[in-house]
Amino acid sequence: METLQLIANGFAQASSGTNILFVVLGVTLGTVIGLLPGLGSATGVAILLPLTLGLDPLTALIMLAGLYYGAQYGGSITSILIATPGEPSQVMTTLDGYQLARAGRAGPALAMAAIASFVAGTLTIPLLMTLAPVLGDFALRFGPPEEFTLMLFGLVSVGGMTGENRSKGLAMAAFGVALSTVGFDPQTGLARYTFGNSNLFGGIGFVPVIIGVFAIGELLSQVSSGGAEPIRTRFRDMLPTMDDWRHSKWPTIRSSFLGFFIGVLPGAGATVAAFFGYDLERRLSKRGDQFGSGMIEAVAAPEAANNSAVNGSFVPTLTLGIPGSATTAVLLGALLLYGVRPGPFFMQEQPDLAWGLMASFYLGNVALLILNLPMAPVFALLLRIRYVYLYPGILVISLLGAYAVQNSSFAVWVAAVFGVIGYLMQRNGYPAAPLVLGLVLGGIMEQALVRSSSMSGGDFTIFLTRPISLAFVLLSVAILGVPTLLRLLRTRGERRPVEESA
Amino acid sequence: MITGAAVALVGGVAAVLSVEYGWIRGGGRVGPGFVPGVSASIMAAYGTAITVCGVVRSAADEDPGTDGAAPAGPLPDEADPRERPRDLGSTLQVLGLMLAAIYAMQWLGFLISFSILSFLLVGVVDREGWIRAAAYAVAVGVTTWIVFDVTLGVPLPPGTLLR
Repeated sequence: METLQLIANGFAQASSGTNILFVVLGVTLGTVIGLLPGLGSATGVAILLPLTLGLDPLTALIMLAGLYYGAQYGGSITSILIATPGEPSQVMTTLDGYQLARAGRAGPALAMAAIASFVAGTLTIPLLMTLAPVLGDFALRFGPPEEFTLMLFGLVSVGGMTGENRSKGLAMAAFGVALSTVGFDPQTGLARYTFGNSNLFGGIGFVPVIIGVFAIGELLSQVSSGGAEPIRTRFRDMLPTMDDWRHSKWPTIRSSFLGFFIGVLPGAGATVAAFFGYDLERRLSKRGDQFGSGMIEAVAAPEAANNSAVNGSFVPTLTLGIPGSATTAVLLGALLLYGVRPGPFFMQEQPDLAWGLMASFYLGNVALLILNLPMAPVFALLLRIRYVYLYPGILVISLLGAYAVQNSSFAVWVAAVFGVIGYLMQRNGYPAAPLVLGLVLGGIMEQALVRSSSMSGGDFTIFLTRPISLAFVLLSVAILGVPTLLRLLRTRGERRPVEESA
Repeated sequence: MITGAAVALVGGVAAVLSVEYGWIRGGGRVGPGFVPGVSASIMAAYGTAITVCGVVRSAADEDPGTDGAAPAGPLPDEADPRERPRDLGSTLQVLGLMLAAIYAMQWLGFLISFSILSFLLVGVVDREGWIRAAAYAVAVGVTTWIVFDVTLGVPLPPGTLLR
């Protein structure tokens, strides 16, 4: 009862006229920032953070929540319209979202992305409010071995996403992990695969790689196939149908909960959640074999998962003071700036601010839906522009996005080189998503492996002696082994009648 | 088949290089070469598998006696090749101009080199007319400058000639 009273107080404080004005401003600015490749939600919040200085702490936090949700959605818009995910967590949205856009269904894809994010927020913010203390304790039990095996499971399952080309998917995942090791080894300071080039000492950033393999690779592919035709659809075709909602309803709900619990765990948060959300629905759906060709639920699932994962990642941030992701690290910095000190006693010591903050996440979600849902068909109009006038702009903005991440000209070269690699991968049926996941998770995986190795004195059976890590190992083995086993059995079944008839 | 061999080659070379970083450190702990080595070895193994499957399939396709009965189940390489490119020349033009613009960036700066790139893409590659190309290039340059440099404060590289 007391909790309900605190929640009501939180909403009452967060929904004053001034706060609503600032959340609307935050969502609008965030959406614009999110439209620019390379400036993901964490960077967007960091860039616009100075705008909130001088505001009342709660108002500032509400505006930041709006900025964050707006930036996330802005990234989804570019993922869907021009195959340019702003950050790794939007890679899975690109796969089917872009295919839907090419089929003239950008409006429904954009609308469903907004709706799925809203539903995810609606379902998981109450979880954050009520379960945070309990889940914070669970997150503490998730040590390096569990973290490593979770990442391993994510990488292995990505191979299954690539349908017939499992070998190609797994080869690209391994390529991504190998790429993540370029640069100084964090443990020993040894330079790996740098060949004396100082630009490589800091490693290969994943944003230029994403921009290269997705945006520039797709652009080169479109140019070689004569350029995409402008897409002219009727306005009513730009709105989602009841059928779209029917297909997306359960995937959205399932991925919301899945994403939240993945977000609670330390690690890559929203990216892993989006991959798992997509993969789960691909396996559960009757039309899972068509994922990748433009299925609306394949947009809804990763969008719900990555949104709710961020809410999940606030559990360790608010209850333990440990940021669960890059975005929460930036937001944690903002909280500290306003004198808010998250930790085990945050909710008891500063209940007004704690509940007001959580209510502000929800208001950010609501503002995003109200502002951007009617705008989805308008954004989709971008595809009516002839490709001749679209691709030079996409190319310039993409390369600038790669530059803007670290203000580095070398990153522009990285994006260009990976553009060529992405083009060759597309033409030869190599999936790009496992490469990105490998690159994003590789560094975290290596750290978890090194820590596990130190914990056990080099004994790798540590992964088999802890229940959670053992479960992930078994799941990984099952995902790798079961399809091969089924194929062998099918081959034997097909040969037997031939041998009998001979 | 060729791409599979390329993947195997890159993985193989990376795996060999990783040995000198040291796979295992004192006390049996994971060394700096372990993760690069294992991931590159996996890459090489799958690259080899893709190549071998491609070779087997090619052999089966060439031999009508086998009636296409080479390995059952989906083969990993070139399972669904896209249609042949209609205009590889345009791709090479775009690629060449993009690389030239990035190279010129150190002297001309981002805005000028990429405005010239936009002009050449619209005017030369797509032959939309010089006036349209010039207007487009100016629009791209001005928009980029306003959004990134003025509004967001992202400093664009000015180039040594204009510094």
